[in-house]
Formats: sequence, structure tokens, C-alpha cells
Amino acid sequence: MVHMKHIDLILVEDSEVDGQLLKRIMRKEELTEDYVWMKDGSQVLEYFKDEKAPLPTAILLDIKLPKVNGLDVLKEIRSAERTKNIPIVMYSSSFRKDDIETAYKYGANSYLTKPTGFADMKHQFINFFNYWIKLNRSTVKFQG
Amino acid sequence: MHNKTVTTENPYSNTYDLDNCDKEPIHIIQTVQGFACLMAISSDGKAIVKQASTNVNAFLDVTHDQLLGKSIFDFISINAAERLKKGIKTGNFLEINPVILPAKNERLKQRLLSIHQTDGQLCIEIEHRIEHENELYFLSMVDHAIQQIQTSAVSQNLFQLAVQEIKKVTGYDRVMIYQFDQDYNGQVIAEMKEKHQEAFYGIRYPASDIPKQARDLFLKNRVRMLTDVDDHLSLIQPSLHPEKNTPLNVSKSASRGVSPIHLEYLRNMDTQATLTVAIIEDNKLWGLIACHHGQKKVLDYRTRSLIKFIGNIISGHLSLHRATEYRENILKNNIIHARLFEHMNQEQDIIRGLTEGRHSLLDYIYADGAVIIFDNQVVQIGNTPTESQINRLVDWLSKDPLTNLYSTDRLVEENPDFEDFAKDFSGILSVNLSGNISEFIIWFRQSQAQEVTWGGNPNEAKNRLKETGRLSPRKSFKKWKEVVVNQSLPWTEQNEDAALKLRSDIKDILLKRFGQLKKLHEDLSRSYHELESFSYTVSHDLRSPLRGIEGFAQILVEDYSEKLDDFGIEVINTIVRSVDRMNSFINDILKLSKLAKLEMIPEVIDMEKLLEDIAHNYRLVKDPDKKINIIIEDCPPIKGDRITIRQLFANLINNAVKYRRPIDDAYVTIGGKESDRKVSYYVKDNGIGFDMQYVGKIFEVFSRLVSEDDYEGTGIGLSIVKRVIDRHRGEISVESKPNVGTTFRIEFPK
Repeated sequence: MVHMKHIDLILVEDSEVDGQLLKRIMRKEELTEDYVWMKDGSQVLEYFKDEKAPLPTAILLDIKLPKVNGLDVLKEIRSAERTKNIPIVMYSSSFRKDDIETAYKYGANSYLTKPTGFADMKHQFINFFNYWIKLNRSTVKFQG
Repeated sequence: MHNKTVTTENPYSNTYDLDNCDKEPIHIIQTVQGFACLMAISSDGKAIVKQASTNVNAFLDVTHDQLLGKSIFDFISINAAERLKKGIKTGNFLEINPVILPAKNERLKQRLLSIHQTDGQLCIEIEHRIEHENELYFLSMVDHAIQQIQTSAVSQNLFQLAVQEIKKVTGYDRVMIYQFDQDYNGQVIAEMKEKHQEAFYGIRYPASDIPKQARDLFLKNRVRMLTDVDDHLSLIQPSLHPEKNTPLNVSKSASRGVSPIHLEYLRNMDTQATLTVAIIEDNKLWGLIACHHGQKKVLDYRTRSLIKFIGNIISGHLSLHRATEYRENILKNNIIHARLFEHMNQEQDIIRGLTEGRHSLLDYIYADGAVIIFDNQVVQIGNTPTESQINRLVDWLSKDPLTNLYSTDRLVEENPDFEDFAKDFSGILSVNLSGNISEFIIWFRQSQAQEVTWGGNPNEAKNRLKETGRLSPRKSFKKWKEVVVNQSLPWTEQNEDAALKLRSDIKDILLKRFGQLKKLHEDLSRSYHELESFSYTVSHDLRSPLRGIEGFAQILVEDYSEKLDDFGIEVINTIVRSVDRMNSFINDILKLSKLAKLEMIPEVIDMEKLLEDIAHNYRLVKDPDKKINIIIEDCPPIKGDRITIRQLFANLINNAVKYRRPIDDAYVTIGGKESDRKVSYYVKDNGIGFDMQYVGKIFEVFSRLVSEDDYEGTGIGLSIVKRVIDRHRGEISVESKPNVGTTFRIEFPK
């Protein structure tokens, strides 16, 4: 894995369509190019096993993922000393009460439900990015 | 005991009549019938005569005065004396009775002497030996009679058989069998008579006709003979035992005299002589075999012994019959019970099971009628009181919910308030089917006096009995009716057990059904839950690619708009619009599937508040195209699930807004009113309306009467409305006229 000096966002999303749309938004709206898109839960955990891997400013985490699902990923990340404070925002089509409650219980910082329309999706992601990443860029300590 | 002298003119020191014949001490009536003499002898082995009836001279060659104080051995043959001595010594009378006294002269032919002991006092009776009219065949007749009786099957009428045989053997004009009920009222259950006589079959008489002392005596002395009502009776002299100073206890004497009251009764029946044999069951007097003859009739000791023997056989066989009958009844009852149970189970309906099968409740427990009060129904079978009378009875029975079974054969006594119907239906047997609500099965029996008639034939003047006396069969019957007024045939233990068994079965069936329903509910609940999560999953899996279609279509427009002509852009717009529509459908499917959830939380909803809340959202709209006047009128509360009721009215109001006409005073009015059993609401608008020929489609899912271009929507609003109403067990109707308006009317049960 190539260690970039700095990662704004780790996007964990298994849907090809949703991922492409988000990529498009980040590019078209000129938000960032310093992101990593992972498509299954185990990849994320693998990434953090490497002590030298740089910590992202934020993680946008889907729930429905192959291999290890998002809630378990969340729990894992929160359990390690090194990664327990990384801002994690859930990003799921589920608005089920159990999912939302469990996510907060496991330590998610926020929970976003995927909207139906593209326009809404765009606005939602821009708001997310501005708050969780743009604002926090300077405050993230990274291990070099 | 009375210590008064007794004279021949008035054998009684006190007068006894109908009112106090109970108190007549008949076991010490100091008279003796003419067919035998009676004497008391000493127990010291010398057989000294201490007391004797004054007619001893008819049976011994000695006068009364000469006999007293002498030994009886002096006046009988040596052989007879030996035999008698032996009996006195051993105390075994059965072995020696009767002692034959050989003929002495023309006057004193062969006689029979019998000895018995009562209260430690030895008594001797001497009577003439009488040749039976069918002497030669007598024994074989008896033998035949006994055989007939013993081989009779339970189904045969043992009693009819018995009276037949006894009449043959004894030759009495009329032979009857009386049966006693538990109060010792009697009934003639079998009769064999001469053709010209009036029938007494079926007659009932009150217990007082045979006083208790008489009944008790029968247990000691099973055969009682009265040879002649006009007989000259002899007194016992001295009336008190010279040493003991007590009157002679004559209970076991065959020749003891009869109370004048009884004589009067017999005379009123044109009866000159009688023979009565006890039928004993379980050491109690079950009934009597009563033989009546129009002329004087005497049977001697041997004949009486044989009749007694037949009586014992009958008693024994009766017990056997009854035991077999009881067993058979139980068996039959078990079969009926099994069939009832099977039918209830099959029908899964208690009432149908009990009323539509081959056997009815009245086969199961003998009764005149029955009623089933169950599941808010009252079903009557046979003869019963009226429904309102039954309701009063049920209210009373419900006061004690812990009692499983209640029975009485005299309801009027138990509760005089019910006299108006209880005088007809005196017997009730009731079981309750549930502890807390009034559910019963009640069997009814009518009063006995109603059911029983005996009249004989009043037109047969020739043979009509005298009605002049105080005592007569007709008077007895009338008196019996008075005694049993307001009483029914009593319920047996078997009846009560049967009722309890049925109750227990019904409870089992209900429990099973409850279990099944519970399971069904759980299955349904689970299915709905699965449906909901299925809908949920499907809708989510559909949204993701929709997002993709719409998103990339947008991206096409954004990135390639210069390269696209108008048509191209329109194409993409169409794609986007289609996606929107698809999303609407998905949303609506989700909404619809949520309604399938079984848990509705019923509460009393403040409709004014709810409707104001919905209206408020619409009043905020500034768009003149959507402006509409929402008028809320009287809103009685509705009992239902708040969330879905809200949805219902929101949908209706939404439709009114959506389908308004573009006029200034577009309005929708909502209101309701409350009645006895329901709450009705209306939603009335002056919108575009629709053609009533399409009214059937209006509530179908996704069905629309307008095009999607003119009005947005998927056509699910009214299906949701219908679903909510169905869940609340309500009704909805609609009226509409194109370009006038539409009115929806909804009814909710209370």
C-alpha cells in the first residue's frame, strides 16, 4: 500500500454506482483528491493493522459490506488505541432504528442516510465534507 | 307406652285418624285377626302361656282362661311338643317352623304352629292348614314364577312379569307393584287385574298414605296378610305381660290386627282381603307387591313363606337389574358423550356440535328442555322457559361464579322470585362454562304434577269406587299432586356427573381452540414481520440502482449538455422523471406494507387536535394553486390507532387539495357525529370529482382515474385509506359528481 502523506477520507462503500457518484462529486465540486475508496470491511481493518499507515481525517462508512459489515468495522476501529478517535460517519441506505442505535452505541460520530435523488446526495456530501474534513484538516495529528 | 285398659268396644284408648295416624303405635295394636291365634310363652323351657288372643279355642282344644298359666306342650301332640322344645332350646326357629299339629277332631283339623321371638319374648301363632286351590301344581307354579323372574332380561319389564306370575300363583284379583320415591311418595308401576276392574296403574299417592311405622314394620316382617276387612278381631288378654308389665310387641306376628284407618281405605277400594310383600333394596323399602281381593282370602303359613321367598327373589333380581341398568346407562351415556364431543371438535363450534348432531343434550341427560348460553347466543332446545325468564335465571346463577354446577328439583323453594316460571320448570341442572362471563348450559325438568295424569275412566260408572270416604285412591292422587307441586323428577348423581363431564370437555375444546388461535396469531404476526422486512429490503435494494440511473443521467446533462440537442436533453429528463416516479412507487409500497403490522395501539383519539394538525400544514402553503379552505366541523373522538388514523385523514385531505378545482372558494369540510354504536365522519370537497361508474376501482392499489401528467401520485393514497378502515373494522363509502365535488363517508365501530 502506497503511503500517502495525508488522507482526507477513507470511503468504505461496496456499491460501484454509489462510489462512482461520490467520486464524481468530489472531483466536480473540487473537494479533494486525497481519498481512498475501499470496497469491503476487511480491507479497512487490514489497512489499520499497519502501524505506519497514515490516519484519515474522517471515515465515511457504509453498513452493508461484504466480508466484515460496517458496524463490526466500526467497533474494531474504536477498540484500538491508535484509531479510536478518528471521526467516523455512517453512510447507509438503512434508516432502521436498530442500525442507527447500534451505530451510535459502537461509537459512530454521525449517521447519514443515503438520499433518493442525486441532487440531494450532492448537497449532503458537500455538507459532510465541509464539516468533517475541511474544518478538521488542520487538527488531525498524523504519524509520519 | 300407654298403660290403659283396653275394651272390646274401643280397642284404642286414644283416637287416631288421618291427622295423627303417624303417631298410631301399630306395633302394639292388641288385636289379632281371625285366621290365627297368638300367644306369648315363657322362655324357661316350660313354655307357659303368659298372654293369648281370645280366639285360642278356634285352634286348640282349650278355652282362653284354661290356657293361661299352663304350658302349651300340654295341648299339642307329643311329636309336636318335642319339635317345639328343640326349637326353643336351640333358638333355631327356621329349622322347626312350621310345626304340624295333627288333626284332633272334626273341628280341629290339621294346624300349623309357628314360633318367633321379639324383644326377648317368645311368641307362638297357630293357624289352620289350608289346601291351596292348585295344590298339586302349586310348587311347580312357584318354580315357574321364580324361573321367569330370574331369567328376565333388563330390558323386559321385571315388574309386569312379577305381578303376572304372582297373580297366577296366589289367585288374588288384583296384584300391583308400588315403587317409592326418595320421599316415600308412591307410584303403581305394574298391575295385573281382573277385566272388569278399574285400573290403578300409574296412580301416585303421597307418603302419608302408608305411615312410617307401617313401612318400618315391613322391614321386619316382609309378608303381611289381611284375610277379611270385616273380620271379627280378638284381643290379647291380659294386655300386659304378668311379669314384665309391658304390652306384647306384635311386629313379627302374621296375624296382628290392622289399623281402622287402613280398613277404611281398603273398603273404599272395594277390597276385602289383601296380601302385601315387601321389596327390599339396600336394606331399604324399595316398594311393595300389593295383592287385593274382592272377597275374604286366606293363605296359610307355607304359602306365605313361598310368597315371601318370591318377594326376596324379586328384591334380589331387582338389585341385579338396577346394577346392570345403571351400567348400561353409563355405557350408553358414554357413547352419547363421545359423540357430542366428537361433533363439537369437528365443527370447532360448541353450539353447532351440541345441537346439530344425532344426539341432543336431552338424550345425554334426560330432561324436558335445555338452553345453551354461549358466545353471545342463547339457543333453546325442547321445552324451556322464555328467553327473558332464562336471563333472570342466568343473572341469579352468575352471582356465584365459583360454582361449577347447580341443581335443584324445587326451584320455587330455592328462589321464590322465580315462581312465575319455576312452577312449571321446577328442576334445573346448570353448569357454567367460564368463570367470569355468563356462559351456561342449563337443563330443565317440568314439575311432576304437570306431567302425571291418572284418571281411571270417569265414565265407567258401574265400577266406580265410592268417593264417600275420606280415603280413596282418587283423593290420594289429588293429595299427591299437592305434595309434589313445584317439584320435578330429581337429578341423580349420574346426571350431575354427566353435566360436569360435558363442561370439562367444552373447556378442553375451548382451550385447544385458544391455543390454535394463539398460534395462528403468532404465525400471522411473523409473516407480517417478514413481509415488512422483505418490503424494506427490496425497496432499499431498488433505490441504490435508481440513484445510479438518476445520478448518471444528471451527470450526462452536466458534462455533455453542449453536445446534446433539445431532444437529447428531453430524453435525459424523461429518464430522470421515470426514476422519480419509481421512487414514489417504492415509498408507497413501503407505506402500504407498514400497515400490515398487527400491532395497532388503540386509544381514544382527540380528532379535533389531529385534524387541526394536518390542516395546519396545508394552511401554511402560499402557492395559490394549492390554496384551499379546510373547514373542520364537529369532531367526536375515534377509538383507534393514532398513527394510521392520522395517515387516513391526511390522505383524504391531501386528495382534496390535489384534486381541487381552480376556483376561489375551493374547500374541504371534515366533521363527524357519534351515535349509539358507531362514529361517522365525512370528508367533503368541491373539487373535480369523478364519474361514479368508476367508483369500484377507486380503492384499488395503484389505480388512478387521472393521468400521471395531470396529477402527480401513484394511486396508493386511497388504498391506504381503505386498509386503515379495514383494520379498524369500519366502513367507507363515496359519492361524487364530475366538476361538483366528492364526499367520503366513514364509519368506525365504537
